[in-house]
Amino acid sequence: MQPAELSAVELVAAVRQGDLSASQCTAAFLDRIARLDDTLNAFLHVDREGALAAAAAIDARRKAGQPLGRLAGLPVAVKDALCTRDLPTTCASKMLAGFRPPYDADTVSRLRAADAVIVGKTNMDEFAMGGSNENSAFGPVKNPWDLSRAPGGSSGGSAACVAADMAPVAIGSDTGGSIRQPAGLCGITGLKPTYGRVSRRGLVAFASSLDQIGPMARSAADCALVLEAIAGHDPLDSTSLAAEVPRYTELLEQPLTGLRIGRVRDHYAEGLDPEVRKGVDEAFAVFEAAGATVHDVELIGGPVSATPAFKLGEKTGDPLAMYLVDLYTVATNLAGVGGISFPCGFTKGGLPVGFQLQAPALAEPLLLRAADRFQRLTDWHLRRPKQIA
Amino acid sequence: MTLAPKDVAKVAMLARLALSDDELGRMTTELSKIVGFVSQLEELDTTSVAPLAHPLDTQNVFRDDVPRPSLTTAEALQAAPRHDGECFLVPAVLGESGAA
Repeated sequence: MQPAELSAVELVAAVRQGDLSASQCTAAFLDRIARLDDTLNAFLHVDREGALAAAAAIDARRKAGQPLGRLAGLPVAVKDALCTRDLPTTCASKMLAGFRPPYDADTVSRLRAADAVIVGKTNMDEFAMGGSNENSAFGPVKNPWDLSRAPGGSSGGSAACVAADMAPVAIGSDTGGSIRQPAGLCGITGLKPTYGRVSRRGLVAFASSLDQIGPMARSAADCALVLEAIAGHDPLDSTSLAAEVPRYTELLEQPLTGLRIGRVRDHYAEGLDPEVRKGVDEAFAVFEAAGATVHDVELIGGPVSATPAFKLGEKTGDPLAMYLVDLYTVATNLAGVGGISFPCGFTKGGLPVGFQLQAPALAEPLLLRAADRFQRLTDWHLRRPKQIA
Repeated sequence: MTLAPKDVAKVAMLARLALSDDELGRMTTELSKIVGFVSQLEELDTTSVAPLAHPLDTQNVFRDDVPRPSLTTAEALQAAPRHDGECFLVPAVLGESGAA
């Protein structure tokens, strides 16, 4: 089995059991980046040397019988809006060309402390301002499902790199939908946690009362694994929440029997693509089959965006249309609560359709459990783009 | 609601952006569309809605003022385009002609 075909949960287990070294795992993903990223432009900086050195150090510690962190050997790509010590951090802007922060963002510190391997920094809309990645000063990211289309944004590089298996996990940030919308358009899973669940220290600010960092991965189970490592109180971010971090990975098992999922009538207004609507309706049926009932509400379900991935250049001349790509996601940020998006089907043209769940503050266990259950009953999240081998 | 070119010119001046006449025209059209869309909010009756600063109930957050390790001066200055070894050096923005 190639490392790129394994989930983050499987990779971490394989490294822990010694079936795969951290060095082999890291090299496999770095090789995919080297092969594919000229086409996709998902990375602004790849730290091959640093990543291989970090992986070798993990392997040496394992050999010496020393304890390893919970993400030991897991390659992670980080959105270029998060400060990384001694690695370029540009927010996809030429204004920050050459900037190498003297410290790590709290999320990056926690990833390193958990023995994850930082493979590089991902492309984005400049300073996270945009919904398509076309505002990057270093050129747009291409959607791995159709290279003529946008990956969404602003965390489009993070979404595309996971969709193309260039990293099993990427970190994004979400101010109005910037994790969930590109996850939806690229056919992966993306979680925007409750405001303050993950420290914002070292995340270059866009709108400080809305910004939130979260995991992007193939599945909800992988997002749960990573959220466990990056969530928690940070005394240096006064808006970070003191609430204890649940063991998200252990809470996935509980069935959804009796869960009430709300459907928002306004989500079905004019402008919703019929194929997106079909995918979303079928997703509700999956949740009903899993024992949930659909009405009002513990969770709110619905589309992530009104259309599948749009063509590069299609909306750049119409800023209002671009603004509305976050229509279904921005309410989560204004309410300060959490949301998750994951693939629930494909259009006839082969583009992913995303489903979004939103929940009350600190209900990440429920979001992850519901999405994980959905993914045990469907295989949309396991499909790979054919254009990218 | 529509914006006039002079409104956009003022915002551009505050943001220190130099716009050509063409750009000023395009930005006026594009910004007017977005402001017009957002101004639909004015149709809502909010007289009975209490003001809300933030939806989560975190109040003032304090911690003990205990010294602890932090960046050295050299580390903090490492990325500065100009510094004097102790402080960042930046262009004056107050008091000098043409800079305000």
